[in-house]
Amino acid sequence: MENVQSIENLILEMRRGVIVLAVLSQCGKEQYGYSLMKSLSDKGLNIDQGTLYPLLRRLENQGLLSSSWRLEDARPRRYYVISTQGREILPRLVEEWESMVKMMRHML
Amino acid sequence: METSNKETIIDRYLAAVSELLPAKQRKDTVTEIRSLIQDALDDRSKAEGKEPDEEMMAAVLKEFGPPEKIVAPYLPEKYLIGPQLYPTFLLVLRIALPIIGVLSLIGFWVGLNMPSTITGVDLIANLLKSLGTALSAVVTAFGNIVVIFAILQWVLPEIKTSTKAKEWDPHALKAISKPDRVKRVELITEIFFTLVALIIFNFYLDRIGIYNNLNGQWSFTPIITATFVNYIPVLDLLWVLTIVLDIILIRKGTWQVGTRLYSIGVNSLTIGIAVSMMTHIEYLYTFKGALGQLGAEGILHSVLNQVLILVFVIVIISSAVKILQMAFRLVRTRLPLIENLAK
Repeated sequence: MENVQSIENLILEMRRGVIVLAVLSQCGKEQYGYSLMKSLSDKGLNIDQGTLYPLLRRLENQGLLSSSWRLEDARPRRYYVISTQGREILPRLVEEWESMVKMMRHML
Repeated sequence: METSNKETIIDRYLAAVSELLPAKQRKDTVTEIRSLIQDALDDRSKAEGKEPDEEMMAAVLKEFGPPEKIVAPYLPEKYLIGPQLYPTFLLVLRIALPIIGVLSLIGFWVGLNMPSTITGVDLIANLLKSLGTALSAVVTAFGNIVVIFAILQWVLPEIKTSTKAKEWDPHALKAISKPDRVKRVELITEIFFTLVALIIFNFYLDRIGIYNNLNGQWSFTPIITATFVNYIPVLDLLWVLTIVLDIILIRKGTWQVGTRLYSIGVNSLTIGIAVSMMTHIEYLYTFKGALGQLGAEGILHSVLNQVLILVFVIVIISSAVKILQMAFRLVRTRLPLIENLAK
């Protein structure tokens, strides 16, 4: 039981870094939290709400995303989109990711 | 989402969430979580092909996890007292601070050597001094409690919520309390009894005494002393201030910053008068000659003193609790949860 738990934790740790890249890559157009979660999930990356929403907030605080409230069907929704700074950083992250994949393939 | 005013478990969930968030980010974060829950609910409603009901809401909330879990990532990574300990911390403050405040007030007044006749200036000076002493005791106690909880937080940084999350049941969420709404019936009752007290103590004071029927002959002995009469102007002031507050509250319908501050003043005055009267209890009334030949004055006096002291202590404690409640509500920024966000 404990073993399963620690494996889960290791996987979670590995995914943590990937999620940032995945989210930034999907925020080229404006997305609200739930639509982003769905679009990530459609592409095979399942993230629970408790992880995604605070991450969006953190990326916004870091200046990589920007957000705005909009009223839709009488309901406020917070839309996130990649910022100028995020756009500059994303290609470098993608490059880093590709070199990491290459390196790990070579290693494993 | 809900057009009706009925409180749903989502409202309760968000109220519990807002309790755990720092005031600064409360409104924004709660609005966001509400919109996320609503999106999830809409999605589930479409998938199941039926309107959202309480069961569906509970299922969605279960996915989001207990309030402590959803709130944790929104909080700064380093905090003195984390979301798991925070409710206990508040509970301890609510219990310990009034007790410490009241004990310190009682200690001040009991240790004070006051002459049997007191002037209004003495009373106000000592009232301010006693409030200062109580405030400093409360602040010290608050600091100590913070330190204890900070140590607990530091020693137990990993308070696991995973098992709690599995067992957590959204149906068990507490109904939202509306501490700002006033209870009109209580206020009207208070006005009525305060008016009765005002009338009796100002116009019929000479009729307060012992009525005795000896051998078919009625006799009356007043028991009120001059010391008690000295208190009448301050009591009048207190009662008039109370009635004014009650009328303002009835008109406004809710507590606001001004009325809360006013109430703190009125309750402080109540404590000052009650403590002063309690320490002068021996001089407030007399049974001299009231019981004729029975000779029971001594026993009756001591029993009545005990009862009156108990009454004064209850008045002091309840006033201190009210002061702390008011102060707590003043400090805590209110979140216009259901009323405004759902609009």
